[in-house]
Amino acid sequence: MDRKQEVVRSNWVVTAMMALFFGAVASQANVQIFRRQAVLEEFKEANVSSMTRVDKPVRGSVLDSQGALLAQSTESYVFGLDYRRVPQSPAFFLALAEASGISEAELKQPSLEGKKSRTWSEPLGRAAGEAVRAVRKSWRADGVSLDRLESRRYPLGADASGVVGVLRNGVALNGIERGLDTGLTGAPGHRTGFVDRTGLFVRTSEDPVRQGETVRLTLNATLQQVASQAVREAVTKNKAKAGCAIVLDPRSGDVLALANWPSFDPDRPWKPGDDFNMAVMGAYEPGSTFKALTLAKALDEGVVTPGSTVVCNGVLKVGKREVKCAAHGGNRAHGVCDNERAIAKSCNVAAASWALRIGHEKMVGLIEASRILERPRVGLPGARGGVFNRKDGAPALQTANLGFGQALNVTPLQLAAAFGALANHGTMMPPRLIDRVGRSELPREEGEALFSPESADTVLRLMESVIESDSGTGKSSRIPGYRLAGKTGTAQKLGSGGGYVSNFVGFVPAREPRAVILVMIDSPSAGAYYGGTVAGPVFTEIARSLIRTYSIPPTRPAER
Amino acid sequence: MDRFESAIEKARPFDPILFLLALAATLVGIVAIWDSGYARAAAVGQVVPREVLSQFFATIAAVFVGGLCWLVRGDFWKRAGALLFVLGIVGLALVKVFGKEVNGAQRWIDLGPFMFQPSEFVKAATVVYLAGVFADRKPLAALKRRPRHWGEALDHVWVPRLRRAWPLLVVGLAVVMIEMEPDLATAMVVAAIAGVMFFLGGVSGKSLAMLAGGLVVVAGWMVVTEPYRMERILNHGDRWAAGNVGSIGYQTTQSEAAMAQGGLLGVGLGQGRAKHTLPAPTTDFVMTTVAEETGFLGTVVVLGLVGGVSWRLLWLSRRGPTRHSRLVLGGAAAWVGVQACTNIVMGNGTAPPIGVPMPFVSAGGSSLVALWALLGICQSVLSVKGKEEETVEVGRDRWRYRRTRLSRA
Repeated sequence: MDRKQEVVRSNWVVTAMMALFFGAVASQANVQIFRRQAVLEEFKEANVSSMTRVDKPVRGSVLDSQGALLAQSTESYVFGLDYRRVPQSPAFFLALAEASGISEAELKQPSLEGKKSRTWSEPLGRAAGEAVRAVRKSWRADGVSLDRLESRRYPLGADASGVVGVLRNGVALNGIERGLDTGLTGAPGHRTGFVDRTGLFVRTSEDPVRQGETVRLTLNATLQQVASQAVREAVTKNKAKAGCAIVLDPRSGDVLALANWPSFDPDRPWKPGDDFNMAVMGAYEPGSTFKALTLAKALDEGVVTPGSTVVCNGVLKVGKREVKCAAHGGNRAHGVCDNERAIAKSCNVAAASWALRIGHEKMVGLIEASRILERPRVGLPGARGGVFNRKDGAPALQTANLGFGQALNVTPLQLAAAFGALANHGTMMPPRLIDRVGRSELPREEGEALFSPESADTVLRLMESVIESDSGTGKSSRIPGYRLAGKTGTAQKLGSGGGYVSNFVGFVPAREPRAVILVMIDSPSAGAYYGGTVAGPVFTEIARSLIRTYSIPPTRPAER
Repeated sequence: MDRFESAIEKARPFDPILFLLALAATLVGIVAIWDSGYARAAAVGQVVPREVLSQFFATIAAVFVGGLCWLVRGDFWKRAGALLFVLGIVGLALVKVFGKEVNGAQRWIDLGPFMFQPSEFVKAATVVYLAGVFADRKPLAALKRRPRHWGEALDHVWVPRLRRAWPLLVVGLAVVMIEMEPDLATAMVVAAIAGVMFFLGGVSGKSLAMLAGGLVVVAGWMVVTEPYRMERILNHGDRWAAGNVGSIGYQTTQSEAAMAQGGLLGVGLGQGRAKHTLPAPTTDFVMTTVAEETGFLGTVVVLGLVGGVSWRLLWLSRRGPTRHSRLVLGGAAAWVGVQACTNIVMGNGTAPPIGVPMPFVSAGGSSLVALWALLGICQSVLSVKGKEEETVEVGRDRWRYRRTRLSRA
């Protein structure tokens, strides 16, 4: 073979090699550039090993204002071993024993007995669960199973289930649990990835889990418990249908306690209706307690002066109808009543005449401004608003009735907030139950000036006589050393059922009150039904606890 | 020994471009192996994958062995070809006897600290052996007269012809031994190298056509006796079908999709996912990770380095001082080029998965040492002073070549 031939053959080889490399590059460009989408599409459809894992968020806790737990979720793990799929190494069992807290012997025992797997009934805590997971990963022990279990704990039980609410089988039934369900739940995270050839999950993209937010309420757990138990006692003792007690800080509108009975145990079976919390879901006539608001409005409007009096002969004619005072001891007439006596004795005639002097329009203006007809907006689901007939055919009679808290139904929480105005120099602070959700503090609403500070302070002073004067309707609620203010109320229920709603609104202490307490007991049927007798003891009980909880100093003798 | 020392004293001519291209490809390979191997290493708590360390030491050994081969006088290799090939056959025989079985194939001899794959050395030996055979081969002298009877024809026509076909039989034996390991891919590469050598060596067109015809028959026989081979080829077209994508088409589809994911510029170093799913991310499918993470451009750069070695070998081959050197370099170029292109078309799913590593880049000590040894031999044979006059333009004005000439003078 001569040199010439050799060069020809070499040229052929060079050409062939160039074609080979050109072909290789072209095929590579084909896959990586020209057919790229088609290949990716095909891969997606084939879906060989890609998968998505969902990370469940831990539900947020509910705390009281002091940080005490009202609801908390705990993660635990049901731990199991499949002996066919774990390393048969003593070091593995040693590591597993250390991580799980289960003894090495116990871990190995079922295997020695010839069992293929075992599940431990006592779930592992969160820390142990994570340690076991680390062992599983480092040993690649597929046979270790950890099933996540979430349980929710309610330390106050039935005492707060009407407010905090209950989560049952992952469903929020009522209360804050349901109202703030989205925030408390958080959002699950998704890890998209694939399983590699050793069976290990490798992440390619992650949208991280958003843990449930912690909710801080304005409640005070101690007060909540005391209030709940006091209401429960009163309802049981008086064979009432239901009862509630609301403790509000009049200066901020913060709800310190929101107790109701009947309530239900979060851990027991539940039937619809158990979650009825009359403080926000019920509407009742405020009754005589409302007279305090009427008087404050009258003073504000100048139709009543601190020195003016009303003569009560037991009956006031309004148009063709009459307004009557309650027949205390067979005598309705209260005689000449100054403002203090009218409040202390709870004189309907006086309240009706104040209201008539204020006039229909301004009385309606008062109930609008005080928002007592509105639905409570504190984050509790199922809340309802009040009822008031704005187109009543007899405005005069309606006005007179309004004066002593009839002719309208209101939700107790809104009413309590309105009473707060008397304790906060005339400014009503809207009720507030949720303090913080996660890191964000819920904004405080602006207060509503219902009365002038002078009128509010005057009425509050007059209300002291309800408790502190010997002729007051709430004299049984005194607490030695402390001057308190309050107003009793006994509203006759309309409709077929009849019965009464016994009310008590009180202020602790009387000067610069730290709290306004509203107690309502619906349909007591054990005989007594006056607000002072039925609802008064609940107030006293809560007031005592309040004094202890907030270390309220005794009233100075000079102020008594 | 004195020959050896004198060889060192007399510094050999040397083509730095070939050396640097090969070195660059090898170093890029170590990076690619690290990148594609760390996933598995990390899973067992190692920072540096085992393959990286062994490839690093193999690189040192390979460059060292290559240097030794370069220092040996060029004309030695012409005589040593047959010996090398016999050693290769012995190696293959040892594999058959002592070979360590991995995944159902007997390809390696376990030497304790490392494993030795004789078939890679057979590739180099084939080049050197066939170059030696064809370097001095003259055309068969024409018969002075027609043979009078069949005895004369046997003596003067068929025996001489069959004698000349001896190298084909020897190489065929090696190919069959490798195929029986079984390692069809390596056997095919050896066969391809041999084919190029036959072509360059001047085997007549008629003989080559007969050889090709014979190969078709053998291929047909292989398909008939072991139908799974045919099935594999047919299934390649259907690799995305639901039944295949998780089993027989798994490697190819994973690799193909990863490369597509990489697109033009890649998903970024370390971001690839194919290395987590592929069974051989550092060896046969090392280019998958390269393509996925550095994209088409990165793939072309790496292929360019390996192809550059092949190109430089061919370039030098056409300017080789002796016929033997031209044949050695041409065969080496064929080895690198054929194997690189096969690896690429296998990785991107154009061809069925046949398990051919990327020269210089894929993890594998035996392959690396064999490649570098052959490169050393190439550098060595280039320094042999040719007896025959150059008949083609060699570009003497080029500085690189001038240096070679200077040292030769």
